Amino acid sequence: MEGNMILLLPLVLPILAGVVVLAGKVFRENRKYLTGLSVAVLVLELVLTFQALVSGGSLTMIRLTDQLTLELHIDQVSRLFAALTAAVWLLVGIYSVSYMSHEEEEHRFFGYYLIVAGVLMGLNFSANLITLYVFYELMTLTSLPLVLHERSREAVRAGLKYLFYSVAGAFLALFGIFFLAGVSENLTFTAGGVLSDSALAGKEGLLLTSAFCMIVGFGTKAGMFPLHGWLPTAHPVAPASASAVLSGLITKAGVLAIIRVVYYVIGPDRLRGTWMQNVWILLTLLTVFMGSMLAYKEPVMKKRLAYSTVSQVSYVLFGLSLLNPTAFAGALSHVVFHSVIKHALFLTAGAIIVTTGWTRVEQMRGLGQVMPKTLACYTVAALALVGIPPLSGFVSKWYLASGALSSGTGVWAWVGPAVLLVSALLTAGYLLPLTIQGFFPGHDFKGEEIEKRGLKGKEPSWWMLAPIGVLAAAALLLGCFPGSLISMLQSIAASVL
Amino acid sequence: MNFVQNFPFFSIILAMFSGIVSSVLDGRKARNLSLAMIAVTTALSAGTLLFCLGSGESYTFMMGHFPAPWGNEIRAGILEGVTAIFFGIIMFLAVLGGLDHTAEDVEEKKLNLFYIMIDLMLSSLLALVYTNDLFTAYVFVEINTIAGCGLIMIRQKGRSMSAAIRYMIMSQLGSGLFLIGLSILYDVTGHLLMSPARESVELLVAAGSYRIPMLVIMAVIGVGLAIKSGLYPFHYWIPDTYGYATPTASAVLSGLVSKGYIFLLIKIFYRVLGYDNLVSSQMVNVLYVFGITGMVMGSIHAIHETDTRRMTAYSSVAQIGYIYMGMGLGTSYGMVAAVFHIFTHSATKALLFISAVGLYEVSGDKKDYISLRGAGYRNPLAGIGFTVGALSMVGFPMLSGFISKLLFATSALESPHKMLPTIIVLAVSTTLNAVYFLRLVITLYSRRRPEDAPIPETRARSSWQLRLAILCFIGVNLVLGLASQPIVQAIRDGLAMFG
Amino acid sequence: MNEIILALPVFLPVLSGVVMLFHPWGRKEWDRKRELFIEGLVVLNSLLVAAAIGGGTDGGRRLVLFRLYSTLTIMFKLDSMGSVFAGLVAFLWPLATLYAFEYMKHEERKNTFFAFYTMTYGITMGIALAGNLVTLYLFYEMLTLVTLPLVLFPLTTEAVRAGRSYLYYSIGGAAFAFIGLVFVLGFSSVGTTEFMAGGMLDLERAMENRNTLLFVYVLAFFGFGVKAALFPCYRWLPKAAVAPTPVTALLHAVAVVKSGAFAILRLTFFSFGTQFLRGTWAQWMVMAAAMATIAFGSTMAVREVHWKRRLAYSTVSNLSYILFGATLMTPFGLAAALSHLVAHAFMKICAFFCAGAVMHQSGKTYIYELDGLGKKMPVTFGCLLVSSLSLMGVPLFAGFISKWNLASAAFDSGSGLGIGGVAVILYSALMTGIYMMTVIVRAYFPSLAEKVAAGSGGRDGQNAGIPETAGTDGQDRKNGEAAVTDPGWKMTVPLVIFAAAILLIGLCPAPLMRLLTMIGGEAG
Repeated sequence: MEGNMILLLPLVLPILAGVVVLAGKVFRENRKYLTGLSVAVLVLELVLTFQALVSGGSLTMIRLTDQLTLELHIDQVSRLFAALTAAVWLLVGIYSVSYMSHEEEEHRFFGYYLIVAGVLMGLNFSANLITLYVFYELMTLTSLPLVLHERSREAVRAGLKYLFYSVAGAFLALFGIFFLAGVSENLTFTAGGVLSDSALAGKEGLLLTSAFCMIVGFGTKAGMFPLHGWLPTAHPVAPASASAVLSGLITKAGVLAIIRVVYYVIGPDRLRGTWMQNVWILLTLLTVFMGSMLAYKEPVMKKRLAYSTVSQVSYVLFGLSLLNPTAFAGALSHVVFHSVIKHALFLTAGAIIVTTGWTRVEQMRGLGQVMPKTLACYTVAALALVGIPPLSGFVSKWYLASGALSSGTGVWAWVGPAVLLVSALLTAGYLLPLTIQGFFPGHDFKGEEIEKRGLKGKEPSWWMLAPIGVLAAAALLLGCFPGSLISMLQSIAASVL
Repeated sequence: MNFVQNFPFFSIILAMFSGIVSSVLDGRKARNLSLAMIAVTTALSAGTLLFCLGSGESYTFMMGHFPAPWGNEIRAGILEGVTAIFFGIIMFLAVLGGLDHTAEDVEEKKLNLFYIMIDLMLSSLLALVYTNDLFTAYVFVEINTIAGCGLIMIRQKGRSMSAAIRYMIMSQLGSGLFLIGLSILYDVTGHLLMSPARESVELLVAAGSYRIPMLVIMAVIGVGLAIKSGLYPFHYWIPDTYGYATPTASAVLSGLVSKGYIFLLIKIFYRVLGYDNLVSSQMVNVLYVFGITGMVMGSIHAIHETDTRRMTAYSSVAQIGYIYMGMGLGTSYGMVAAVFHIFTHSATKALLFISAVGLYEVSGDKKDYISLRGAGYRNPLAGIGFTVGALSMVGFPMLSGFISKLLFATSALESPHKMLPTIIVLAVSTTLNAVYFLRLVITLYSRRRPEDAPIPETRARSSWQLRLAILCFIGVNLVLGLASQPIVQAIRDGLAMFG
Repeated sequence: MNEIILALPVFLPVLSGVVMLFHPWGRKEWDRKRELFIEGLVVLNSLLVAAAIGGGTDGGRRLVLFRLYSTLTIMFKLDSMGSVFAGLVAFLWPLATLYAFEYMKHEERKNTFFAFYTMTYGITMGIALAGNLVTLYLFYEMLTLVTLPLVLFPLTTEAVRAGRSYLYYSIGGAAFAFIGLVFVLGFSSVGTTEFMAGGMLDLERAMENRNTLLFVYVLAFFGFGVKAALFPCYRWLPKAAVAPTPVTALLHAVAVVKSGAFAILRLTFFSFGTQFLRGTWAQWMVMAAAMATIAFGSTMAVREVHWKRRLAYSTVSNLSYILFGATLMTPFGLAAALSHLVAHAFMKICAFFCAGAVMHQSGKTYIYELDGLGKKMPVTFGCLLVSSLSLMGVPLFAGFISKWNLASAAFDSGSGLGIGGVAVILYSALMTGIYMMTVIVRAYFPSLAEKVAAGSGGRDGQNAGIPETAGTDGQDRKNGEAAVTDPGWKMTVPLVIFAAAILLIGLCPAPLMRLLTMIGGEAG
């Protein structure tokens, strides 16, 4: 093991902590120790992550064979994803302290929650495709218990579906990895690509096929059509904290993988203008539209949010598929924004369920009387997702649209923004009714149930409300002051495009 | 003229005289005389073989003082010597092994008749091996048939009689055809002695005359002897015959009798008709086709049998097919393989029949699968003997069957057209053999099930003769499997000087 | 004459087994003594093998036993590839025997069982050390014979049927392999069938009869492939799952089936030679057969609900990974095939032993009975988890290394069919994930509805399937669910060692791969 050992800490600490939590009997019995340790670890994790990001460098962990080495390194992309992960993971962790008190077997949840944090960090820090793949697989395996936490029959089935889709996607991607390993010296992430022209001679068709397999394969995690089917099944049955991170961050792992493959291994120049790019764009747009449509029609809140994720992550993928700097910046910014927003939305949904037991949107009339503060935060986040300026979603959508128009990809240049626009309308249609009906339930709303159950003004506890508030505020502020973020993203874009 | 050179003649005469003498002896004495005679004749054959090995060539022995081409002759060479020894050993062990069963099955008064038949059988076999004269061959063929019938019939149970009649009819058909062929040959060549006949045949072939009669001769003699040796599709009499005779008789009939006829056929091919003529006349192809058909069909019939003796008999049909296939390959190497398989099959089939007897003993004398279940535990030695025999049939390495397969396969490599069919049929046949033989072996070692009928009282232990015979047969098999090289070499040398 | 050490590991177990058969050791009091004797013998034998391998393989140390017929001799030779197989078997056998002691504790006729079990060790060693095709063929046939009583052991109707099926397939396969033997002998450039890296055919003569020889190769491939459960001759393997677990695990996951694969490797690389075979229609044909088997085996495994049969189908599929590597006919392909031979041996024996442990402790044989056992048998299921992840191909485990090798070799070879093979392997990996991980997930995370029911009537009505052995551990079952725990040390220690080995190979594959690449380079 040679290199900057500091990089190892953000990986190892949460994993070890998670194992300790799972194994230690004291955590099973004493809730205080459990939650205390978890939050402490997450805070420490945040600190360590920033330290690692600041110190930079790289680290070779294990050398399996000459070709297969596990290495970590820090570059701008890692910084972006890692910072996002650490911050949000802490917030959701704090939220879980209160939320999970309504669930059973909490220690299991926290244990795996911590482990996944470490694994995800490893994914963010991956320096080559092999390391990425290793952590990708590990992430699937370690997040599985989060999905089937409740262990109802549906949960176990959903968990298995998640597993099989993920594994199928991973193996699709592996096909591409096998091919790429044969046509390049190594698979280290290098801005602009690392393949050797001589080795590729005559294998262009195979290259495109491999790239396609990898995008569809990694796109499984990101909920891209056609392998998105696990998402709407898994999210409703998981606890809200798990759904949040699944939607908000774990899907981004798929995005990260695609970024690395397209921009740092294969190189965008090899893909521009090919059939593969066109199919990719088509798939993303299809997902954007389809996700929004299905969300609009879905009555169960968490499932609606799941479909929303399907749609929104494909905004990101659309931006990436255009192979254009502006769209790239838009995509990456949407990674951040959507993560923040979706977390807020899911945490809200969790709060609603925990406080009132309501799972369907139509039940949530008059929610404003129950938890106005929470609903207000929800509204901010929802508006941000729709793309109302000056909220963050507007910024990312702007960059995406302008990037599309200037991308030179033929028909997609204007079809894309059109789809985005339609989707935005649908987004409003599926997110805002909650706000409207919550605050303005209508004259005929009597609110007996709220009275009867004494729910008036029953906000969720501070543990839950504070993270939601922070996230909503972030959705607002990042929209108002996007400058530094955007310039960082533009520098990344310049390096790869 | 060495004294040793008289041995072939002595052995034939000795066998015949023993038969005659036995007619006035009682059962037991006849039996002992028979055994002693077999041993002595085998020793004589050994002497002949040694002599021929030493001199490196075959010799002819004039019978009486009439020289060729008018007198009668015996010819002895390496091949004849090896074959005679082999036949003698098998015969000895078969008689020994079935000793007590023979005593049981046959009436006390008729026992000596049995041994007369044995003696006559041996004498005719030896004569067929050594003779150089066609008509003598015919005479002894008939004697063989009669002896065979006698052996079958002696049991005097219902099915044996019908089996014997069937045997007689088929045999006579074969003999008749043989005789017709002989007659035409005599007509055309004017000789009955083999070597001079050969010269005439060569002249005729060279001149191109009598083409059709030559073909007819080959066909008729071939078919005649084929019927008698049980080549498919002339095999119908075999399952009944082997199935219903006494153990010794089954072993002798299946192991030796058919082989004697085949040997005669080979002799006629080499010494009278000329092997090259045969090849060019496509006769060998006919034999080949019948051979491979028999290999497959015999096994298929065997699979359907539930009576294990009939199953073993059908297996013989398949094995005879192997031999004819080897002959039909049309190369000298193929003939070597065929002759080796004669030895292999004699030894193995006799082993199977004798071991089977041991198994029937502990299964209430029943012969079907269900009764035999678990017999391997009740009579371990017989079980082992049967297993060795079965494995040899399947071609397990280190046993004789493997060498046979190897010889057949490598000889097939020399004929480009017949290469693939031979090899594939060999493989298929091995698999089929495995199915019915090894199925029985597994049954032998299965546990009896509650629904199986209980086994009636049977004899406690097989007689020592049976056990000794089984052990010796296993030994013969192993010798052929492990130390085959000298034997094959002897066969090869013998065939070289056979013509 | 220190080459005698080549013959000892073969004959020592065989003779001991024969002695055991006839020795009146059936009585109970002899149990411990017998166990000590057998284990001591097996360990001694493994040490002999280690010593033989340690003596080096340069120059090809050989020992001619005797001459079977003219140029055909029975001889042993220790070369690198043989030492890999021999070493693998020698390592696994003592552990498997240890496991078998515990497993067969309550059985009758243990004497017969262990006699044949030990004999199989010697015979398998004979295959590994065989120096020419005839010797390989001899021991191959003997392997069938000596493992048959083990398959038949329960003596139930199913067992007899399974044994018959096994026998017919094996003998039939050997009959076709025999064809290959004869032709190799006939066209050999040295007049014998001694294994030579790169093949021993006289290429001039061989080219004249090209198509015939290719056809014969295909026949021989399928013939040996019967033991390697190649489609369509795989039927016997799932049926043989009725045998006691030590038999299915060691024999049908390691000794017997790997012998089939090993024989094919010898046939392809050391007899016919890749120079003759590469690029011919024969290569495509056998590659397609291997690929079909990979896909077929995995798919059938998903559909199968009897646990051991599921693992049997998994074996069918995984063996064809090895064969696929072989059919690439490149040095890298051979190395990849060998790496999977080693990796899969550990993975599958670990998985089977876990299944056996569960069966031994609780009598459960079907997938749907296993809910929640993960907590009750942590060591067992921990090892099963390792094995499952490895079989699926998760990195850091052995299975990933061998899959990586196979895929790299396939892409490297440049053949279109080879790349299709990679896709098939990945499909199979997905199926493997499904059929292995379903068990794991349900064992560790039983769904709550089941959890309620499991405490009560979980036992009854679920044993309507094939009873594995008569009267297995009835005591444990009588005590009910609560008594299900991890088995004794004799069973858990081997399990843990196997799991550790899987991890070790997965994390530190370099030394092994160096050796295998060298072998590939010599012979490919």
